[in-house]
Amino acid sequence: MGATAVVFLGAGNHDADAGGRQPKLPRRLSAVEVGADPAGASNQVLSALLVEDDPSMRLLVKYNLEAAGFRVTVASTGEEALELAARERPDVALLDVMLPDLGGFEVAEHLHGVPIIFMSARGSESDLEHGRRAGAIDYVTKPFDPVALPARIREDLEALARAGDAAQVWALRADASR
Amino acid sequence: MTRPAERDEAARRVQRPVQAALALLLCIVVALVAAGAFAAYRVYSLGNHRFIDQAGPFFAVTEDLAVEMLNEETGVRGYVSTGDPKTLAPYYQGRRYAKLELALIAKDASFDPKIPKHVAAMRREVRSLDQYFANEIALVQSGPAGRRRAQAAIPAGKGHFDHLRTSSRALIADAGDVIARSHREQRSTLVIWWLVLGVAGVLTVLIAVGLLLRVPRQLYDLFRQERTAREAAERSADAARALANVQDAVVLLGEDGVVRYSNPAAAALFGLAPGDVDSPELRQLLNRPTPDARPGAWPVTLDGRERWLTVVETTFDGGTVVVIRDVTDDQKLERLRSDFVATAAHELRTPLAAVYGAVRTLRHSEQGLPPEVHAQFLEMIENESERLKVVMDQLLLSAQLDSDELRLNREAVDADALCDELVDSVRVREPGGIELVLEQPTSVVSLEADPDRLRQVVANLIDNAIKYSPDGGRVKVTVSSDGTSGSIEVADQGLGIPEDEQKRVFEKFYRLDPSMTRGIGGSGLGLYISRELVKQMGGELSLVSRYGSGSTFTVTLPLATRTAGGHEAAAVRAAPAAAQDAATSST
Repeated sequence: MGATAVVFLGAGNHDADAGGRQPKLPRRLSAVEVGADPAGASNQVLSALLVEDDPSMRLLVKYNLEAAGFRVTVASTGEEALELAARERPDVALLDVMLPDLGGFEVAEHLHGVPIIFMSARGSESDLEHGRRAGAIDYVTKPFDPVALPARIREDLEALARAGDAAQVWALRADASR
Repeated sequence: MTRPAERDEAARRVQRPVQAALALLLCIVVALVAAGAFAAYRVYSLGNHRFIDQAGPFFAVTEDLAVEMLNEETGVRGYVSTGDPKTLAPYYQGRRYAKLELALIAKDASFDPKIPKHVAAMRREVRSLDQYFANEIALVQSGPAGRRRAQAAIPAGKGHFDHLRTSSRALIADAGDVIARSHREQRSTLVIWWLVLGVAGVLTVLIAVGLLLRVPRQLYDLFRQERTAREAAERSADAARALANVQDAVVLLGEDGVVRYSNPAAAALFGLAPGDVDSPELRQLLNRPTPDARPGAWPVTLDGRERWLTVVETTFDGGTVVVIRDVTDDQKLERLRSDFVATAAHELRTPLAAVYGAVRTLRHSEQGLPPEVHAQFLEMIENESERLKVVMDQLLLSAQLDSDELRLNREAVDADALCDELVDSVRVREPGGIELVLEQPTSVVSLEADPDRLRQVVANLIDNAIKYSPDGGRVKVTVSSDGTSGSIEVADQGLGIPEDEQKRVFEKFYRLDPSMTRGIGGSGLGLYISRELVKQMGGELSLVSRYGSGSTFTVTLPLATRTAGGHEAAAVRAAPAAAQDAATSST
């Protein structure tokens, strides 16, 4: 497991394009070590917005992400999520698809500039397709291992930084099992 | 299949020769009868004429003549012997009659050419005899010498008689010939006519046999054609009836693709006016782009609504028959079912994800978790496992209820006792802030129900009441009866249910808007199951609610005809089970 330093230029806060759904590069991401122990060595604090209505899942994901060095903001409804996203400008948003008010996909549409990872118990072909079209960089199906989640998130963000395009990241992921 | 015109033509074809043959037959029969009559008449007349009229008299008269001549002779001989004129009386008499006889013979002499000859000969003989007799008489009259000369001449008289006899015999022989000839003529006439009749008869029989052979078969053919046509008509009628009553739309296209026939179901589906067989929507459906490349349902807008139709085309020699079925409802059902499966999977995966996640986290943390976090995760595993169990039980129960597999006992249940123990056990676990009240009836209310299932339902209602009163309040359970049925009412003062959602709360997986219910969880199956259980027990679960003021759920069941005595023991015994049921059922 080698360490590779990847430098990203901190891009300015561009407004959302009219056309494609390319999320912008995470602003505070400057160097990330691939394959580093998620709970330890990384000195990079990423902020994540967790949108999940199930309390147990909230607790699990929050705990594991924080243990891996993430700063986690939590929302339990879509409305709350949009508010917090506007305020906090997170590096990544983890969206549950089945939210009580707005669906996860609808929230995604309004989250301009934030890379999105969907989490859901619904993992059918059409759901995945839906996720892809919504411009997400990853789709995690429940049950999943919350311990391995932080590493997966970091990989996704790196891939996004390299490719610059959510669709490409998705394609890369498509080979690996979800 | 022959059409009526063809059958008429066939009938005429058979009719004409038959008529001709019958006419011919009639003519022959008439001719035969006429010929027969004529032949009989001829035979009769020949016989009559020849034999009776002609030949007969001959014999008689000829014999009479001989007799009269004898009489004459007798008279003359007597006169010759005696000289007495009185003995001449027979002579004179004989002469008179002989003349008559001769005249008679002469009258009919013409019937055969030979006869007159003999008649002439006989006449000569008679004249000779007359002459002889006259001589003899004259001799006797002349004196005794003459008398002696007369006596001597008597043998000469014999000679005359012999001549007469010869002639008369010849005459009789000839007459006999004539008679024989008549016989022969008669017989030949008879034979000829018999032949004629025979031939005609054979001809008649042949014609009749010919008719007999041909006519019945042709009639039978006609009859068979008629019957085949009738059967075909009946089958058509049956086919028409089948087409008229089948629920699927059936459309017949000609080889040119033009619609020739639409059955009543098709007319109803596409809103065809009476007399129309076609419509723009139908034509559009028939001309859809890729026939049967995608064997599924096609969306068609009919009457302003979107319907899903399956189309099956079968081409045969002469056209195409198209069967169209409206599967919109099937699709809806299918979608509902797949939605249910997806939702059920989701409901199961969610608690499982929590359990798995907690276990992974607990096992992974190297430094160990802070004790309170550790405890939290253990509790999470416990709770979520239980939730998983509850959801699975509920899913199984729903499936059983849906397929009518659930067997419910029918017992007399003391509603008051049941609610009392439930309320007691809930009160023990309940969070503060909820006042739980049981209003008991004045007399025993004995319901006809399955005690365990009823307990499950009431526990569910009480749990919901508490869950949906997050700000506390009173939950009141009331047991009552109106004489024919009894009811258990659970009323809360909590969040209430908006009017447009009141019907929907009983649907599978339906949960109220959590933004409104502030995230109160549940699988969404509790009320569905409760309502189904009550329904299958013969009762009803109803709701009265006002958003913001609370809800009242009422279970109504028929009263038991037997009393509930003896079931209190059962209820008490099952108390722990009741507590467990109450704990695990959720909305």
